[in-house]
Amino acid sequence: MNNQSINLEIGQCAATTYSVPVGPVHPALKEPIRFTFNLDGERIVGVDIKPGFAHRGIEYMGMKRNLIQALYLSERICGICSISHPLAFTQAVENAAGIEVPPRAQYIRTIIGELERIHSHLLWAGVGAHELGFDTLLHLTWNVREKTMDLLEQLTGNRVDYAIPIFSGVRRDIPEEKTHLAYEAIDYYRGLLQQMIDAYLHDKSVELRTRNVGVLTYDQAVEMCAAGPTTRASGVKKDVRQDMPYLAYADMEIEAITPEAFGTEPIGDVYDNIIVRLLEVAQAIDIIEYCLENLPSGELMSIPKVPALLAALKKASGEGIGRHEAPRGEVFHYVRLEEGVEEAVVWKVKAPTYSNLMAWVPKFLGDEIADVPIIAASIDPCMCCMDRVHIADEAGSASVRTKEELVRLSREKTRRICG
Amino acid sequence: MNVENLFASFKSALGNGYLEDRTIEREVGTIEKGTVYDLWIVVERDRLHDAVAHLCAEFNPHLSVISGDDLGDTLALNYHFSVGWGERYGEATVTLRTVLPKSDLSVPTITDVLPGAQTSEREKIEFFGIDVVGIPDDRNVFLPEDMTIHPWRKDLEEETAKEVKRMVKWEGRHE
Amino acid sequence: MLTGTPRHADVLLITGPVTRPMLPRLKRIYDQTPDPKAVVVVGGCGSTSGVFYESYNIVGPIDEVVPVDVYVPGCPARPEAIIDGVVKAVAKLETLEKSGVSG
Repeated sequence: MNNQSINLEIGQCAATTYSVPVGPVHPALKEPIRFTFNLDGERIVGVDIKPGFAHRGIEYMGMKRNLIQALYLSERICGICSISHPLAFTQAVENAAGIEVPPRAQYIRTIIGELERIHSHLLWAGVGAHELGFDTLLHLTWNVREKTMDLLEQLTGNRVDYAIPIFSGVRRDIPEEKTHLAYEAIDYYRGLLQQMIDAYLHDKSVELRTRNVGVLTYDQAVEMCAAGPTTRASGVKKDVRQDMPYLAYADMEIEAITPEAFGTEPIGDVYDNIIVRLLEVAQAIDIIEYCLENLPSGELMSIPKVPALLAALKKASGEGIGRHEAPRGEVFHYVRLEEGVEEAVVWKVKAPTYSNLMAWVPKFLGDEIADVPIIAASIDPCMCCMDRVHIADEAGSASVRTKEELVRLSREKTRRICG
Repeated sequence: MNVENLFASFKSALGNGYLEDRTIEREVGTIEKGTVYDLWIVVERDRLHDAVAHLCAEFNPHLSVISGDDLGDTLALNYHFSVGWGERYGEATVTLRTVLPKSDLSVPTITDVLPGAQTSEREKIEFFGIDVVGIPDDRNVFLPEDMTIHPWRKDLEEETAKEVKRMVKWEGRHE
Repeated sequence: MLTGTPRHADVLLITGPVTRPMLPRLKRIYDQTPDPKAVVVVGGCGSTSGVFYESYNIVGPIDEVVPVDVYVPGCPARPEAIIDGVVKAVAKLETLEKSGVSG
């Protein structure tokens, strides 16, 4: 995929556009991806995106197994937002089959979902800091994130893939003896929040590197059907928890967070993305506190015996849509169930990055190659680094640059403009 | 969310192209109950583009994804939109459904009115083997470039199964 | 210590399933890692496909593609288990070096 074109301008030295393929990415991350950038000097004038390197055929496999097996498969679609898919999938199946979820289970699902939001946004913030060259900030942020991971492990038994939601309820309870752990974590985060905001949003170097970089305008965000913090950073007030409430969110007044909540006009750049995500951490803490204080008593599953559940699902027929506001945006699941058939006849999954793929293109255009790591990371794509850069120039000679070199470019730019 | 008005505006825009509608009402909330809606409209394939154009002109929609349903002799495509985002309880899902005969699996693109639909349309091309007329880019998006199978077609299951590699032999199952 | 390039690495960690398009890249990264090296497969997907059995886009097991020294099971593999696996791989490398065998 190395196409190059040479543009000669009269009176100038030959201006060359390079085509730079970037990717695919670490197998460790959810979606390795390949970008091909067309550069004019250092400026990006065109970008082509090819995902699919981590495509495992989840829907194909899921339509061949019973719904509970498909649920465990859905958990492993993404490691970082590992409860988001089960939350949407269980809702879709419960809507299709007409199964009620008891109030206590709804609140527990919400609490774990918001804890996931905290750890996901902190992970993103640390990675963003790393791409810009602020490794100290990376380690501080990830250290802070460990508190959430520990809490999740204490409550559910695992740091990721908690296996909490199941059709008609949740599998594990948050007993009285454990709620103090959650309150401790809430106090810990409340104490740290202002420091994090100062470190990221009131730091001149971060501002210089992220203001007006990777801009997505309001109209572009709406046209591209972007979702999550990516679209909210552009001022679009889309948030499934606000627009079409579900679970415990239906009992709360959730407002979509845009940079206006911080007092600034939305531009849709990387800086606005940082604002939205950090403020959402604060919002998540408030939501968790509300849910803990108002946790209803009652049963955990409306159909507690698994054989009875499987039988009820096999008898069910209908179509169901389940949506959840994951840390990265809207997760959407659609299922169609047929009576007498154990498997879902149709299962369609839409992850948030899917919605934000097209939004990447306008973000890259006009910016420099050194900004590629931070712009790519700004939509929080469940993968944030590109590990190989292959550059071909018109002489046909090739040089392979590693992720380290690309990040070095990014950091050199930081040093250059921050003095 | 005024469901009746929404349906009425589509009926008047599409005339005979408007085939069927369905409303699913759901109760949410544990303290004070609220209602959310999943709306379905079945349209004729030739009027799909008009339906989406009407949706974009009047309702400022968000496209979640396009899903497909292999029904044997026909293939149904569900365009999952949502309208009314921006205020609490303001949103409802609106799914436009159209049915294609297997003898003519083609559908017009909607990327001219909604550019963000491109990823989803490309996904349907590769997973169902349909033709999306007028799409600016019809390459594989999620499947490898050289893969020619259509995994979600039930009638082409045999071909897809050839590409499946089982790493561990299971006792008494399949092979 | 995580390096940015396989050319500076002693231990190669392969996490998760290997999809069809990633297969040639995996082979290339393995070849670029200089001897002596150890390969650690992290997670159930690489050894038995784990929960992703029956996929048209996953290939493996990884030990049919590259030689594997340590398997870390789990779905997901716990951090402590990954550390244990890497430590075992390093120990194996040291034993190999002492006995004068490389690769």
